[in-house]
Amino acid sequence: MQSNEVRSDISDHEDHPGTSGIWTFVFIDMVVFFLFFLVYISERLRLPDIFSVSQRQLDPLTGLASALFLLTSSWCMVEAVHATRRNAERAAALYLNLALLLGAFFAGNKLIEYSDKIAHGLSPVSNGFFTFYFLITGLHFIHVIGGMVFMGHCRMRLSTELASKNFRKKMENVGLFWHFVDVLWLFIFPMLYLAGTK
Amino acid sequence: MEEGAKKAIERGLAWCGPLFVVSIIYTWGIMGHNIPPPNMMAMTPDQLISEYYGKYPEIGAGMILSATFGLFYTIWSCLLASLMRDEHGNVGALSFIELAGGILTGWLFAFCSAMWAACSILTGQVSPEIIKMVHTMTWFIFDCTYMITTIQMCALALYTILNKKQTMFPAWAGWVSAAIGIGFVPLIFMPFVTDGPFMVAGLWNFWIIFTGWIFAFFGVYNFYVLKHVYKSTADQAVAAGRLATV
Amino acid sequence: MLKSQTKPSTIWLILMALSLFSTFVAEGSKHALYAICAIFIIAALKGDLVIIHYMEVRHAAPHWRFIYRSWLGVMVVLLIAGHVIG
Repeated sequence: MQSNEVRSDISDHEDHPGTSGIWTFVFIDMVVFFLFFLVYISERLRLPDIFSVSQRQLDPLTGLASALFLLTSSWCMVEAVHATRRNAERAAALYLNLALLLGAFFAGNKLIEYSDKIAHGLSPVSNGFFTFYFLITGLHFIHVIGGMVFMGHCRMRLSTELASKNFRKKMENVGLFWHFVDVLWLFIFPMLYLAGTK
Repeated sequence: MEEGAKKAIERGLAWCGPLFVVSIIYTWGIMGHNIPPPNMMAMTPDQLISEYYGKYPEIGAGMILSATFGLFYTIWSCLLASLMRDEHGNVGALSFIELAGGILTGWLFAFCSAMWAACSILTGQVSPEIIKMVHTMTWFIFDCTYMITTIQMCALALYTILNKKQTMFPAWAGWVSAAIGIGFVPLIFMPFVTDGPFMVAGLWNFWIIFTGWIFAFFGVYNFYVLKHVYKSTADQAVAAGRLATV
Repeated sequence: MLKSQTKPSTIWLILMALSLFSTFVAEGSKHALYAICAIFIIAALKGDLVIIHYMEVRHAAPHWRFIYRSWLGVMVVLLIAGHVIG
């Protein structure tokens, strides 16, 4: 690298959504989750009966509801970002609120599911499957909470910062992260709740 | 200190990084038969002796050597901390956290290696139960104090990503560093499992995080540190994001 | 095929439909192998829709589209292979 070069990740193209850092971060996160999925599969191959029997204790409709909440929340976030680009404050506020609300529904659904499992004596140390169930959904849950915190921050700053380019980039970054959280669930849901239960 | 001497020392310290990697792989990993380590939580004391310490007497020598080379990690971490300055040339909290993590990680390597050397050398002289106790306790210390290295990696990650003026380290290396640092967290499961990916020799808790730590974090930053210390003083200041004083 | 300016609401409807369909396939299918392939391929298709239309990866730096879609492909291969072998 030449000594007078600037870092390419800080000279962002005007038209690229978000800043390059978020794309890098999301990719690294993708790799980490891929590794978790790899380890899950290796464990599933080692203990197929335990995994199949344990998976049947999950309710696919609960997983489906979570997927629908997140997909709809993602849609609202897209609309919020578009509204931000148009400087449409009321629309941006409405869609951000909806995205947050649906995120809260996801979180609530997850907490109810966790409580139910624990009430039935299931925990991360029950068996190999439930270690992964709690670990993978727990990590994802942390991402959901993080996303909601960022969305909440944007909602609070909306009226004062809407017109600035920095805010638009911030919204796009938060949107990108939120969509990634959604994409993760699109794989977690079938892997844990649907596949291999027969 | 003369400029030439300063540069020579800096470059010598930078080469401590690769020296650590090569020496630890050989002494701790190969001589110490830790690729992978024995699954102590699933072994009886007699099995630990018959299948590990008793079977491989070279473990003692490997661990004594590993105790020496472990501190090269600390040396390298000190150099790294000295590079983590702001645009005014000042070190800050992130530099200190990186330094603290590097010192403690190096110490951990040295201390734990010495403990495992004792297990090896005293095999046959003390009961297998005592050997297993010391061996296991040492692994708990080695693995479950992962936060030592996590804080180092996260502090370095924050510096790399947030200091937009520096070009020593690319942002992606910072993200990778943070990811690996956080990836250590499942080590909390290690003491409680006897098989699967989170056991001491498991796919996640050994293969993925140790390989990630030594190659994707340490190897990557070694590369960029070496590149940096071979630059001219003026180029180094620019790469570090130092504000021009003239 | 869907254009990059396809309305987000249209994409949402497709995503909803695919989600319901894959749950139906998983629950109702007698052929486990086909069901597994279907649900993971559908997951990747949904992921692709989100990446292209919601994340707007076409407007990002060019390598991200390849990298992100490659990740989808690798995930599908891992998950199908892992379930078929077992």
